[in-house]
Amino acid sequence: MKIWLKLAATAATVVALAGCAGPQYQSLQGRMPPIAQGDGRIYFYQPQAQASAAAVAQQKLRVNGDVVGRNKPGSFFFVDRPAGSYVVTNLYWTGDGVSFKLDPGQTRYVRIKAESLGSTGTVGKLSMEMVDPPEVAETELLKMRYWGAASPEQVPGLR
Amino acid sequence: MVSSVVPTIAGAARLSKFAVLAVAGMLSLSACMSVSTQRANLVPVAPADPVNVIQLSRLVTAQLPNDSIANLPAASQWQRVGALPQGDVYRSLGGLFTVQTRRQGEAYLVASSGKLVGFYLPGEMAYLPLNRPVTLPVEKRQ
Repeated sequence: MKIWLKLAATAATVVALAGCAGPQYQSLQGRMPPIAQGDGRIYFYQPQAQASAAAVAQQKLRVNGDVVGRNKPGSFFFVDRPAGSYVVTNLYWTGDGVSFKLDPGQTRYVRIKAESLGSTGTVGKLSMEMVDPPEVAETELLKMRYWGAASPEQVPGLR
Repeated sequence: MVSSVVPTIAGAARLSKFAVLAVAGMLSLSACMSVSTQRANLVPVAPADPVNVIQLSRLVTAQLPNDSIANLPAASQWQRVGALPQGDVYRSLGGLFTVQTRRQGEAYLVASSGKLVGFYLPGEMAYLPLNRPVTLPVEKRQ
């Protein structure tokens, strides 16, 4: 009985999440807002869509200390920032993440990876890496779904 | 009733213990990779300055203070973008070049007297000195 209840709850969650899913990156070609003069763009995406709790766990992503959004498996979002120096982290206490210079008009891509620690898979570590060349990221992004951001940057008409 | 609650509490305690150990492990791993850097203010090249590009004649391997390795590929080209008190600063022309400290950082090489003496991390505006500078075999200069 308990198993049936769990299965029903999982199915309901999957249906609910499917309803929340945004459009795929490939369907947004040409609809992305242009980068303002003097700004650059930072994409965040998490390719894997494993079922482990660690992979599904969402954490806050920070750009120079400011929370800009959360990771979500199979999803992406972006933020625009003035050209300059940037550190992207998820945890205050470790300072792990990536750092880079953002040039005017430049786009940087940050891939998020969730790793399970231990056999239960309930405890996870989020890691990030910069993706270069941009074509690699663009290809990986094609099937990703838009997930919005805490920052004002949004694809018009979607949120 | 009591017997069914007790194992649940014990299980939760075990899980919390594991979580604490995992977090402690992550922190210690992170500490292992961290390195000491110095705040640095890059003086950029003036727009009127001639473009200065160097090309390495062979692979250069540098050991960072945290024992991780940075490989500068053979034939890679680097453009002078500025200077620090420690040396001239060159940015990779062949795409993103990074070094691994507690985070993955974009890095420019810093050269002085024909040697690679450290890396400038533009995202952190910091200089990462090498304990052992290595010779920089420059094949071509423009």
